[in-house]
Amino acid sequence: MNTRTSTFSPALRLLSRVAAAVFGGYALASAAAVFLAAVLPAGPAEAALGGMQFSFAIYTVAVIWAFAPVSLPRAWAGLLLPAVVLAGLGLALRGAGGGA
Amino acid sequence: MSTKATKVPSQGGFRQAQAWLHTWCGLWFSWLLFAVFLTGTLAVFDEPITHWMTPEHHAEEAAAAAKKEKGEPTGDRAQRLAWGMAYMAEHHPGASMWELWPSDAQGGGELRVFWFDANRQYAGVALDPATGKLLTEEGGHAARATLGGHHFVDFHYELHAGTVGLWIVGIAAMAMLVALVSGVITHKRIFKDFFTFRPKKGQRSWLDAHNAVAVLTLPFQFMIAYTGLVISGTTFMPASKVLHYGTGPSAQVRFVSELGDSDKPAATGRAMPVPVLESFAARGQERMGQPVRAVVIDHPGDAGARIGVYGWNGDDESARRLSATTGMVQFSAATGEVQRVRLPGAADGGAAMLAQSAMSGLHMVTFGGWPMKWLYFLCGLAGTAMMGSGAVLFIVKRRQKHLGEFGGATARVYRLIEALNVAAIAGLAIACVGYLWANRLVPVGIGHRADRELQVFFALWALALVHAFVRQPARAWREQLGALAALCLLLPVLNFVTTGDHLLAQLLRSDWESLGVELGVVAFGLAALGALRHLRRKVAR
Repeated sequence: MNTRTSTFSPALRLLSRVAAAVFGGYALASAAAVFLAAVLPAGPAEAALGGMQFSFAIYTVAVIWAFAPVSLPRAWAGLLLPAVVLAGLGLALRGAGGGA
Repeated sequence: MSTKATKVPSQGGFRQAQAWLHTWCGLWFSWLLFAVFLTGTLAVFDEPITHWMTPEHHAEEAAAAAKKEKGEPTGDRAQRLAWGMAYMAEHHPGASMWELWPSDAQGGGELRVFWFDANRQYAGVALDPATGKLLTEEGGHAARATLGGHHFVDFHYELHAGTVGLWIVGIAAMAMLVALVSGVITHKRIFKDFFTFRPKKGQRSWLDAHNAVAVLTLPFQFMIAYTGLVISGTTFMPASKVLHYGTGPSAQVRFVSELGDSDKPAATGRAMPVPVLESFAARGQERMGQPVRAVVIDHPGDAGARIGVYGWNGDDESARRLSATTGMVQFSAATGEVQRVRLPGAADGGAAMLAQSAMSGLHMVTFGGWPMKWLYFLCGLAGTAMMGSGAVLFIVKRRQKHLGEFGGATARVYRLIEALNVAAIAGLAIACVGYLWANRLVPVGIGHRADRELQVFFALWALALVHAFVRQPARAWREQLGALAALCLLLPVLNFVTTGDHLLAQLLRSDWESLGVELGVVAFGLAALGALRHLRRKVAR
């Protein structure tokens, strides 16, 4: 994409992309599960279960995204930013809704 | 290591990047996924396999069936429940839960009792349904100890390695979802490809075969990977549970009880004998509309005791419902009041619990009867073929044209992949049928016998791996396929020599389970023979 990316070796950049897919994707899937657990219209146990059930679909899409032809910083940001937002919303809404 | 394998095409199109992901994610997980799929496919028929592996029980099973037909007198349900209670009161008065299984759906069969012992471990024994006395192992013919077909069930989701194995298989299932999605994206002409098969064209044929089995069974493959993940989902993805309940064993207990059993009473500390159970069983049966399978007493001997009556699903009911839950009626032991009714097929909680139950039923094919089991078996074989053909395709492509992905080490990495292909595909199949051979050859009275059978399974697999590294790939394929064909085709002979049973006898006594297992193994043997002949012809050309 630009010459600056080549300051790291291809192996390191691949490692970073795999890490983005595995750990960034897991973080996003977990955050989505937390968000869903807070907003799904059910008791806490049911909502937590429902969030988990959807999370694997989100994880899959996240891994696909990590291997989209975009620069590494964008790949990471595209996973971690939504993860932070969803997790934050989930925690805030749980507090507001008086969850457990 | 500036090599091609490490170059994700970051400037090419989306499709190229996905093709890279599909190739490498698919390759590194294909061996493990092949094993999970082959054993998972065999697990569909775990009960017939167990039946074949316990020949000592065949006579007992036939005798029990004859007894039932003649209607030999055994205790009725009221009597059986009373015997179960008497046993528990004498031997396990302090247990926090008693569970009595009085009879089968027709009112006959075994009488079993279970309880939580002092260490919160679940335990149980069988009582004589004619006398209520504890059944001891009958002398004379000792039955062989074996895991039977359950070996394949256990291996396919946790590799006989507990939580570690569960995680490894879970990661592989996630990789499979990724490989499926990236594979679909990679395929420009998914439907055109589906109608294309160019046999005997080397690499093209492998690609066509890989595409055909994958596309044809794509919905099944997605379903089986996804439901497999969700069944153990709270282990893999605990964040949403942790959000509400925190971590630790007490959090898990609270989560589970709120999910399915939010109104479980606490013990009061005041003593109260357990009332006569038959009246609860009769009322429960009427409310849920199913014969009684089990009567469960929480806090027996306490004034807060609760009595749960559970039903049997009939065959036609199981065939029609995805969710395999049975009916259930809970009573207060003190007042006899009905506290909760669950109708057959309903879930204990709400929509998420029902989804969980349906996904579990979908994965374990508890619905649809034998035709559905056969469909799962065929789709499972297609999935197995998808993994195997993908792994072979990778290396066939590179035999034509060295791609040099690993720089100077490429030749060695290719050699490693070739060997792993042989051991993962032919070697695992040898281990599976070798497990059946072990069942007939390991002496019946030996200690830890079930473990010995497992050791044969793993030893054969390890041996196949060593063999695949020692021999040249083409030779390794031929020799292992030859061994596989011989082991499969000779299994009926082995069975005849060791037990005296044979296909014709099985047919005459309508033992479809034994017959199906042996004919199935023979079919695998013929397939291996076909593959072997194909390889020989290729060498001759």
